[in-house]
Amino acid sequence: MADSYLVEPDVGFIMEVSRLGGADLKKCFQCATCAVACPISPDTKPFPRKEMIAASWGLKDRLIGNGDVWLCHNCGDCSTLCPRGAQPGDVLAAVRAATVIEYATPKVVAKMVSDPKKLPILLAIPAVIFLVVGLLLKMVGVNWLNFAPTGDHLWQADYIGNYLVDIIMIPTFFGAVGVFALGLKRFLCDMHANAVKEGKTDKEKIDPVGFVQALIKTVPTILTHQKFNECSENRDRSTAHMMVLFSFIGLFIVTNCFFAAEWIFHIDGPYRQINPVKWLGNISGIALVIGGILLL
Amino acid sequence: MDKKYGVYICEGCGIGESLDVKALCGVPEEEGVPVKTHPFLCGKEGVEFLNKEIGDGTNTLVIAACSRRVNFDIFRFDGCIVDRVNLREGVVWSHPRSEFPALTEEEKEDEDNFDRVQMMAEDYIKMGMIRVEKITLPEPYVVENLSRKILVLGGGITGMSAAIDAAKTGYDVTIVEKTAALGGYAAKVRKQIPVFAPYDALIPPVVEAIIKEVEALDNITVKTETEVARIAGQPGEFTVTFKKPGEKIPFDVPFPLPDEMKVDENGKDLDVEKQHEAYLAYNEGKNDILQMDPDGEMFGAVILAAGWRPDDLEGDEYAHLGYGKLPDVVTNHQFEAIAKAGKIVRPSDGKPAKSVVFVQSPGKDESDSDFAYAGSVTSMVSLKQAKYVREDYDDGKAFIFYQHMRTPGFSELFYKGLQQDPGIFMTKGAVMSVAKNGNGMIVDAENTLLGEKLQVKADLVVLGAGMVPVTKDDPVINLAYRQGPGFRDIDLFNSYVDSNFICFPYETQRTGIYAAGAIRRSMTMEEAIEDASGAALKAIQCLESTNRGVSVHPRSGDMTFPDFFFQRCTQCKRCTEECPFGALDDDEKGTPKPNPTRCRRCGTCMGACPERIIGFADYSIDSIGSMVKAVGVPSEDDYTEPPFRILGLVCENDAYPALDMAGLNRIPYSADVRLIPIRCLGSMNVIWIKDALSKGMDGVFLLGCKHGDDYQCHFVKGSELAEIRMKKIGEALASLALETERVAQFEVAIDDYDKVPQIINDFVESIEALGPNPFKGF
Repeated sequence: MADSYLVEPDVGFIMEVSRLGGADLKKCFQCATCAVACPISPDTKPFPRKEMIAASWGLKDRLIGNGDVWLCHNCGDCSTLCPRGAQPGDVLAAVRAATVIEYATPKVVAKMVSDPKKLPILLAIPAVIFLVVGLLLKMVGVNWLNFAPTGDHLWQADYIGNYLVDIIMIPTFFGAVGVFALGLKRFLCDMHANAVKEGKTDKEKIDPVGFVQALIKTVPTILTHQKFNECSENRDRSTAHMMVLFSFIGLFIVTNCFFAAEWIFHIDGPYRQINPVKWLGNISGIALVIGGILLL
Repeated sequence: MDKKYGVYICEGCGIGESLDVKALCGVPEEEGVPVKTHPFLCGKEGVEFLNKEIGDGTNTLVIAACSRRVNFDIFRFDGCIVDRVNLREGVVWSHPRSEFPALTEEEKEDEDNFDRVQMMAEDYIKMGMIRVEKITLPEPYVVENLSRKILVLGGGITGMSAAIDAAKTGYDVTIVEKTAALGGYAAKVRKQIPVFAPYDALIPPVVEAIIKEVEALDNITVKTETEVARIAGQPGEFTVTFKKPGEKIPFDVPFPLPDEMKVDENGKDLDVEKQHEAYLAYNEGKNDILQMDPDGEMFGAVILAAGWRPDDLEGDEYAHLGYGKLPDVVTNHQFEAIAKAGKIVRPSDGKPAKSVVFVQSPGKDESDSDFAYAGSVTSMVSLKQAKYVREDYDDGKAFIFYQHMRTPGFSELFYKGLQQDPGIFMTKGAVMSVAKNGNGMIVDAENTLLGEKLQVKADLVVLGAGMVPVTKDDPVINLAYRQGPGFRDIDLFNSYVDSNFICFPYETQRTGIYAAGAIRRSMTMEEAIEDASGAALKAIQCLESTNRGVSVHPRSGDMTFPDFFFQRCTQCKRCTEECPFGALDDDEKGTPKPNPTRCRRCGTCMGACPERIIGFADYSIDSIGSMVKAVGVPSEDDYTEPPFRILGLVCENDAYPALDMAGLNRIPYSADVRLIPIRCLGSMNVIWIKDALSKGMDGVFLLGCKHGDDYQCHFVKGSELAEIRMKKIGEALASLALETERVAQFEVAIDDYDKVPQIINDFVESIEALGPNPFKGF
C-alpha cells in the first residue's frame, strides 16, 4: 500500500505543544464539535478536529507546515463548546507557537521568546548590546552613550545617540527581515507540501501569479478583520486586535518617515507637536497600548 | 369455605356520572346477590364500610371500581376472595360519554336502543361474579425440608463477593471452586480496572482482600477442587451431590437424548419406548434424575458464578491479523500473563515490546463488530494494558485501534484518565492486516480518524478477544431436571446464562438458580461485584419466598401453584416439555411430577394441557371459561341490529397495563369488546376461544407481548407458544365453517398505550366486515 501513511508519533512534540499552552490536547475524543463550531472552518477538510488528533498522536510533520492553524483567529468558539475541555483554540495557538520556533533562527532565541520566564533575559539582551557597544565606542572616544547629559532641552538622543541606535538597529532590522524571509520561504514550501498531502491542491509547485492574486484577495480580508468578526465567543477581541494591527502599521510608517527625515533630508528633531507624522505616531502608540491591554 | 357474596360498586372517579349505577345493581340483584354502592370506596370511609361488611360475614367480594393494578393494597382483605371489576379504566375512562353518548330518556323508551357502555359494565360485573364463584382461596405450598443454605458455584471475584454479601446477612454459604484456590481470573492480573472512586487510574488487584474477607467469615464454607455432579429437587430443598473434577460417579446427571439419536438409520423418529431405551443406554451408569442422593447436601438456592474462559480465537477468521502464524500476535489474555510475569516482552525473542498495537475488532472494513464475546470490558482492558506498556517503558508507545470504545458509567473517568498519557494513541479504524516487517510487524489500518490508510510499526500485537461463558462448553450446574442439565438455549443469548437481559438480569430460566458475573455477559470486576450483590439478594428472596410458600418472581408473593388432576392425565408430556422453567419432571411412565417451588405460576402448563386437568386456586380453565360464557351476546331476537361481541384475552403483564394507560389518557376503543386479563398468553387454553365462538361471540383476539429476538414476555416464551397454538386453532375454525380471521393475536409493549386502542378498533372493524357469527343465538 503505497499511499499508506506510516505513523511515527513524536511524544516530544506532544510535550512541546503541551508546554506551549495546549496541555489539554489529549482530552480530545474526536467528536468534531470544534470543526462544526468554528465559524471559519471550511466544509471540506474542516479543522481543527484533524489538527487535534494529529496533535494527540504527536504527528509533528502534519502540524508544522499546516496552513489551517494559521486561519484560526483563536476566537475561542471551539474551546467554549468542546464537551471535553480539550481547548482546541489553545492547542492551535500552541501549534502556531511551535511552528514559529521551528522556522525561527537562532533556535535558542525562538525558544526563549516562547517562554515567559525568559522574558527578563530577552529584555536584557538589547540593553547589554547597547551598553557594550556604547562603552566600547566611548573607549575609542566616540560619545554616543551618555549617562548624565546636560543642557536645556534634554531629549532621548542626548542619552543614546541616534548613531548608536542606528548602527545597532539597522543591521538588526535587516537581519530580522532576512531571518523572517528565509523562515517564511521554508514555511510556505512546507505549507504547500502539506496542502498537497491533504489533497487541497494538485499543483506540485507554488504558482507565483496565483500566489500574488491570492495575496491581493487576502489582504483586505485581513485589514477589515472580516473573518475575525465571524467569531461569536470573542468578537470584542476583534477591535482590540485591529487596533494592535493598525498601530503597528502606523508605527512602521512613522519610523520610516523619521528615518528618512533624519538621514535623507537631515531634518533634526525635536519635531513640532502639530507634525502629522508625530500625530500618527502618538495615536498609534496609544492604540497599541490600549489594544494590547484589551487583548490581555 | 362457605362463600358469602357481596358486590360493591364505587361511584367515584366518574363512574357514577357515566353509568346508570342503579341499573348496574340490578345485575347482582337478579342473581340474589347483595349489592351496595359507595361514593368513594377507596377512601377511609369506603374501606371502613367494606371492613364492616366483612365483619358481618361477607368473605367473597366483587369490587367494581378501578383497575386491579391500582389500590391493590387498599382492597386487600386477608382471608377473603376479592375480584376487582375494572369499571374505571376499563369502561368509563376508556369510553367517555363524549364518544359514546348515553341514551336519552326518549331513546330509552324504545327497547331496540341500547347503551354499549352500560352493557359493558354489566357484563364485567357478571364476569366478576362468576369468577369469584369459581375460584378458591389459595393455600401455600410448603416444602418439607427447607434448607436456608446458599450454594455458590465459582470461587472467583463474583462468587466470593456473592458469598460475602449473603453471609453478612446471616445466611450459611458454601462456595464450590473447581481449581485448588480461590481467586479466579482476578488473581491472575497485574493490575485492574478501578472498582471505586475516582475511577481514573489502574489499581492493584482487589482480590486478595476479598479472599481474606471470605476466610474471615465463619458462615462461609469453601470447597476447592470440587464440582457439582448434580443439583436435584427444587428451590428450598435442592439436593446437591459434589465430586472431584473429572470424576465419574453414579450421581452424575443424565443428559437428554440428543436429537440425532432420536431417529433410526432411515431418519424416522423412534417410538417412545425405543427412545427411552436409547436414553437409558446413553446415560448408562447414571442414576435417574428422580433418584435423590441420600448423601447429598441440602441447599435452598444456588448462585451461579462460574465465570468465563478466554476465547481461544480458533479458525481462519483471524488469519489476516496473523494470529497463530506470527508469534508476537497474542490475545489480551496472553498479554495479561506476560504482564503479570514481568516487563512486557515479545514471546518470540524475549526482547522489550515498546510499540504495542491493540486490535479491538477483527472484521476489517466489512464489519465493525468487536471480537465475539467482547464488550465494554474488552475496551477497558485494552486501555489498561496500554498503560502497562507505558509503565514499563518511558519510550513505550501503545496504539489502540477500535471500532467501539465502550466505557460506560464511571468508567468514562477511566478512559479520560488514561487518555491523558502522551504515549497512548487511539483511533477508530478498521485493522486490515498484521504482517511481518523485518524483526517486528507492521499493522495496516483504514478509515481512521487520522484520515486515510495508516501503518504502525509494532513489536507486539494484542487482540481484544472476548470472555466465553463456561456454560458454552458445559452445563456446569448439572440440574437433575427432565428438560436437561443446563439452561434451555433459546438461541438468543450466545450461550450466556440469561433469561431477560433487561427485566430479569439475575433470574435464569431456572427458579432458584441466580447468575452473576461473566457467566451472564462479559463484564468488568466492578460490574461483577455489583452483579454478585444482585444475585445474592435474589437467592435470599428465593429462600424468603419459598419458606412462605409463595412464588419468587415475577409473580412475587403469588400463593397459588398448579394443581394437577392426575386421574385424567394421558402422559402426553406437553406440560413437561412446554414449561419454560423446567418445573415438571415426568417419571418413567410420563406422568408429570410437579416441583411447585421451581414454578413461576405463568400457567403455560394449563394452556398446554389438552385434557385441561391443570389449574390454580384462583385461575383455572373453568374460572376463565365461565367468565367467557358470562358475557352477554345479544342476537337479533334482542335487537334489530344487535351489537357485535368480541373477546379479548389480554396478557396482564404488558398489554393490560397498556390498556389501563389508554383509559388514563382517555383514548377510546370499541365498547363491543370484553377483555379478560390472563397471567400469560402461554396460559391461554384454546378451549376459551372455542367457548367464545360457540357462545356466538363474533371474534377473539389475544393481546400479548412481543416475542422474537427482543422478546418481552415475563415467562420467556408465552406469547410465542400462544402463536403456535393459534395456528392450530385455524384448522378447527375451518371445520366449523368459521373464518380463521375471526381469531387473531397482536403484540404490544407496555408503552404502546397509544397504539392499542387502534389495534382493537381495527380488529373490531375487520370482524364487522366479516359479519356476525353464524352461531349467534343458537
